[in-house]
Amino acid sequence: MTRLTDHKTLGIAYATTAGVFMVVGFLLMLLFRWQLAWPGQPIAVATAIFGETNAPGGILLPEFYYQLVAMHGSVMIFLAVVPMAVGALGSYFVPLQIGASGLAFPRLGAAGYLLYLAAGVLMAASFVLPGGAANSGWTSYPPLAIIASSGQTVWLVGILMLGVSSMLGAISVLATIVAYRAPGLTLMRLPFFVWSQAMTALLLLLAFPALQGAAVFQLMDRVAGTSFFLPSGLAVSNTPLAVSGGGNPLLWQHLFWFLAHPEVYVLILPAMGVVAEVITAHARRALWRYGLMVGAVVALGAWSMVVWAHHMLLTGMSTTLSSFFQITTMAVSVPSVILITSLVVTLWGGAIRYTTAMCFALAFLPMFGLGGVTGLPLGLGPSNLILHDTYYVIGHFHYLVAPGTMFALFAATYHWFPKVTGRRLDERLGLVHFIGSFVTMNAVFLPMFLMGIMGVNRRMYDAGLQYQLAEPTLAWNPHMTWNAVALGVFQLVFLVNIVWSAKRGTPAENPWQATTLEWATTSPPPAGNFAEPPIVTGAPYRYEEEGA
Amino acid sequence: MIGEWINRWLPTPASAHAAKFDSVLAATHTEGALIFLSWLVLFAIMLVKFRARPGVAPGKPAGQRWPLVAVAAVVLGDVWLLAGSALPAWFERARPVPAGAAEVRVIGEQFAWNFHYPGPDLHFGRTTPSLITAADPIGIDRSDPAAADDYVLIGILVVPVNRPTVVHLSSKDVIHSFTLATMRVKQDVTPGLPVSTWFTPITTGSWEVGCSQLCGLGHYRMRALFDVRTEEEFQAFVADEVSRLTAP
Repeated sequence: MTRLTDHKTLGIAYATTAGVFMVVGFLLMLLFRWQLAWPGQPIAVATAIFGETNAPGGILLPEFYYQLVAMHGSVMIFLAVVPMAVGALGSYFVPLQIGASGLAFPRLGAAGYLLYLAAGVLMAASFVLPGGAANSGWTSYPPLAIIASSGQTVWLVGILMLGVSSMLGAISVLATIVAYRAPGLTLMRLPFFVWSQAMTALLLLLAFPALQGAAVFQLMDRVAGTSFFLPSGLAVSNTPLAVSGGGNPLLWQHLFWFLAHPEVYVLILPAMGVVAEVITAHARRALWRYGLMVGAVVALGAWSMVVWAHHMLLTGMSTTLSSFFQITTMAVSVPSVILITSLVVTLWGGAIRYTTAMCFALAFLPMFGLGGVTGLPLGLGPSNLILHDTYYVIGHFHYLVAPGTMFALFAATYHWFPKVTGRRLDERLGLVHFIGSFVTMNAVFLPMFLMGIMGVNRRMYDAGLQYQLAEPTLAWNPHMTWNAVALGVFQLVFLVNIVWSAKRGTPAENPWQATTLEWATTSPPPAGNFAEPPIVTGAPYRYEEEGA
Repeated sequence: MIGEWINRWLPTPASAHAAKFDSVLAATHTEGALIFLSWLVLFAIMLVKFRARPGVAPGKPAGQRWPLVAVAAVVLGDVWLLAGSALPAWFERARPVPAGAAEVRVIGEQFAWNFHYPGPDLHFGRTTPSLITAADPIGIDRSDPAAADDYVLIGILVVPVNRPTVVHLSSKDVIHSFTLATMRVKQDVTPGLPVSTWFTPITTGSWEVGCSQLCGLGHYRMRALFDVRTEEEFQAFVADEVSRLTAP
């Protein structure tokens, strides 16, 4: 317990736990991708592993399939990517990058981790409940989620715990950035990664309470007979539902997306911060127009709080209101484009070193770009109507988060592994990992855009077997699934690299000759981080001075 | 352009407003592709040109202003998409339904679509949840005179061509989403919040009604047939359904 109050131990604990959940989320995906590729075909060992209720005769039942889908989304977002991008990278590198000896409120930080761990174990364990884990999608729309089996109750309790965890972590990180900066480290001298973490923490702090409230309401609707989200006159399976009614299911959607849209930026902003650090160090360049980028990241975070209802354009809201959200949604592309443009233009005139870290950071840019561009038709009413709830949406947000944020997390691992361990990851294995991940991820997600345009809906247990319009796409699914399997194999290469290099990798202090503060101490940093408190006299990126 | 080429994969556009909606999709794809592809070319050139080479000193950083052309292009593109394409098409759909429309009540439930027709009197009879049975999934109150000629189809929607059809949507249990891909109609159906939408089919044909909102374990099979017939065929269908009501 006491050791978790050290920010480096805390960061490594977050990274390890989030890594385990990433594998869990990935395996859930492989299971439902099997079902999508070969609907109804038995998996030989499935009954032995998942039991008669989930997979009789090795065939995954819809009951089980919808648990896999809901939990893949929940695990990946709440238990894997956010804890990795915020909990692990934020806790470990924010204090180092600002020349601090640790986090402010270290006990809050530690409590945040323990709550996250408990919530994660609880949510994962809900698979063994009668009726299994939550099965109403990661969005948990009522009334479906309220009449769902008991896994949903555990999901709600888990979300409540994760919300508290995120807020504790956010307070700790924000206080650290405000109060613990080294002498001379003014706000406009902060590494961009620190800015991205500050905005992320602010978003978590402001947006999560909305979902906290909503989760309590939904929990009460499930266990205490209230009707916050249940209207009068419901009849399920032709039997009137014994509830008082008078509630509104759309209220949940507003509260949910008020968190869940900013949550997307919680996934993206730290990734942009990482890419900024990696690109500057590996192209020997200061960030192009640092001040403009800081303005853009603040604007992007703030603006992300007024676009939430673009997820709800087809709920029947008035044309005026939906127009408002279409306009705010289009406007969000402006700070996004400023950030992406600045990152790319930073390369201008540089000396790009094609390390694995740099390859992943560079690949992030077009992958994120594709995710952003495909957000345009989804943000506009008429084209949203055509594509809403199709595979196009899945392609869109996975390009932002899978080859997007995940690539940034890989870049961060290759870039900062020497900082944490004092040894480099192997570059040859890294190259295999990069090329393999790049090719297979695109092979999985690119066809989804076309499937969506053809009208194939998401969340189909049988991949759309019942629908005429899905017929031509059924044959694509096996290829996508094989690529997902191959993607897993390439991640094994990554894991082997981590385990092997931690013991046997080439020793390195600052292999990238990076100029940000985290490299101004030994690798790994000693207790207290800096032998002497550093004094900052200039900008974070000073690559042009050295002549590279 | 690129957007029109991508649109070839859309389901057949078969309603009066489909072409306009498709043009919004085409415009966004064209704009997105132009920006993305030109950016990609520049990016690729930079990756080669600015690679580290031993003995070659790095060049000067980019100027402060010219890269902002990309930002300006995106702003102009966004304004053009919103004002020139998306919002006009969106507001046009919000206009009142033209006179002479056919009307159908659509009641969604796990995992079926029920279609309630008003019959020749064009008035919907009363429905009451307490009258719902397995045989009558929407609970028609036959004591209401307006209900005498009402009929209910389960799993097939039949509408006339070249005449607007208004669908009055409601759900008995959870949120569904009424989807007619070829009509470019998709509308969430939230219990407790009845909502209407309308469309005018411009060709006859047989397609499908889908559900686009996760509604439970059978969501994937919540599909119905959707027939657009000529006016004569439609009148014959109405007469046939009404005659079945009076048959012993």
